[in-house]
Amino acid sequence: MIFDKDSPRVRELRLTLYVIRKSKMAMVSICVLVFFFTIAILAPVLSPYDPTEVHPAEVFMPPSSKYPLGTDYLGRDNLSRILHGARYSMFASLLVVALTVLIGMPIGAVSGYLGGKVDETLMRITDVILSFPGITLALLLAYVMGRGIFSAALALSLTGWTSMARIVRGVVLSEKGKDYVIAARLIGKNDFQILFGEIMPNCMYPVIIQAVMMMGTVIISLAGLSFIGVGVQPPEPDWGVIIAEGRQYLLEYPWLSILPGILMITVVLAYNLVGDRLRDALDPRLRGELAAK
Amino acid sequence: MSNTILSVEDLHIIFRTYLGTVHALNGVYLEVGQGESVGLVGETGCGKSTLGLSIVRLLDESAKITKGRIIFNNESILDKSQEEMREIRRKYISLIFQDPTAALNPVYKIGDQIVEALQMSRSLKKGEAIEEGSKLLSMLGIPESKKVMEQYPHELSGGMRQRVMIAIALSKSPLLLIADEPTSNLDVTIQAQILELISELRKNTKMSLLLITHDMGIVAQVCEKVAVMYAGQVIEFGNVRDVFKSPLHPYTKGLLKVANLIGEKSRLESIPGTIPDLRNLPPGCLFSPRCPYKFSKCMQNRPSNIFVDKGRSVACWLLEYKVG
Repeated sequence: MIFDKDSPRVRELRLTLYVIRKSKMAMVSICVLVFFFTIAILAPVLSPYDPTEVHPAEVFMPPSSKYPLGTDYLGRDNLSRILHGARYSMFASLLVVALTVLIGMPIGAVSGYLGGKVDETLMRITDVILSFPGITLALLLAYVMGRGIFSAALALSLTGWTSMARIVRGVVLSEKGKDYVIAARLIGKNDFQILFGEIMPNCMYPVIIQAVMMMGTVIISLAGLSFIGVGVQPPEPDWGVIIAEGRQYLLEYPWLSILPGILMITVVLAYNLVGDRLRDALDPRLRGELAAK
Repeated sequence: MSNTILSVEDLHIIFRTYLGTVHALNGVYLEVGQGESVGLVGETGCGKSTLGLSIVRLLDESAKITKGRIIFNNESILDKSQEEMREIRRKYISLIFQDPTAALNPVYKIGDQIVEALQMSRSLKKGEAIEEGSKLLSMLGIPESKKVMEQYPHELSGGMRQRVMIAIALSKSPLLLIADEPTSNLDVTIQAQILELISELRKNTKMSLLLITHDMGIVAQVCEKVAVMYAGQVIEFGNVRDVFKSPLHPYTKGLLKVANLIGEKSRLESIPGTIPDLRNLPPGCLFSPRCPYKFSKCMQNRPSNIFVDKGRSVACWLLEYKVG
């Protein structure tokens, strides 16, 4: 496709971006996210020490010029650990959400489109999985596959796709009754072409919004799994692990746990704020109103 | 007409809803000859669109055909497999909807949608299809067709969109075009243009036309034959001139009077009463509750189509005695 500056698609995208740009909160949030992704990517360069390097003589050091954020109970540099921890939070959550979309979207689409027994079966399966706490599945997977970030990510994807499937199913249900679907049948298209060629492109906005909104919860869940010991394994530095290790010394050395906690809240909040604004900006009715303001 | 392209015989369709079974079609007889244009008129909810969709077998899942036959091009539509049906839709039958806005996919450019339609029915290369599509659009009176092909549906006016829909419908050079109220959503001047366009095209292409509408005037203007529907039945069928000049069924008479096409032009008239509840049909003639001429037989037996003479049929017991 040739890039056409005046095509309505591009114009629409520009309008969306314009609406997002107008919101200071969203822009700050995006900057925050960009900042954290940069940190995650550049962690090995930025870190003064290896995050797992132990300094037995210098445990529980307060922040100083040698250790900008102090050290933990094994004398590991806190700054380096937090920087490396960002990698798990930022990238593993992306992986989980991607898997969620990859599993949930086709299942929801097929379920909504075919209806009847298929729909019934698929939706009952999602119901069962929805009532299944992610943590239980994570524990099970950790037992089968061994503990680690991949077990945790997989467990969250295997439970998380249900909400995506439900949203997609709902949109497909409302789209499939429209005339353009009948029109597509009338030119002889088959079900596959109609569902993925005609209907799905009309269902993308809710998927995008849901994906962004999910990022926050996924980060929290991943950290939670690391915290209880089935996610990232010590000595690897994950924010959840750091918080878990620091909590035993919370009264004496509070900065160990509190700082990664604050960082996590910041990232999650940023995702949620961006998602909120994105939802407004992608809504064709709200968009015009917001742009005019 | 010697060559019948479409014939519907005693078609019954029901919809199962949670409020009960709706008897949408109750024994429809209809015939469309090759190159002929037939108008299908009737009030809202009388089953016009249901009939249209049943011909291409695109009814809702809740619909069930309980009885009857649909013969298209000497083949029974209802016995076709899904795959064969797709083939028929791909090549032989087109349908135009009432609302062109909903019938175009909002996320694709006009050009892409026309090219796709062309490529589905004919094996054309992309370049050829683009040429063909732009030719088709210019033929339908769209200026700067190349530019329009680069636009999205929401950027066009209603009349333009309907032209695009017609272009897509014509892209396969269909044997039968079903137009379901193609002009109801357009303003009067555009309406006239579109109708003219459709009748023009039909004359040039040997395509048959089934025009679904509630406007008797449109039928008089465009069609050769007319089928009047009431409560899921074609109650009168014949040449437009004959039917309009001497309507035989009391309902047709009433309809024409309402449309002010016959009789002295007076105040706005209406047919007393309303259409029967399709979930709860009267046992006899469906029009009997509103009919001023009803007699005992009308309340007990439902009249089927009585052939008055060649190409003219009426579902009314009054005629039984006249014809003998």
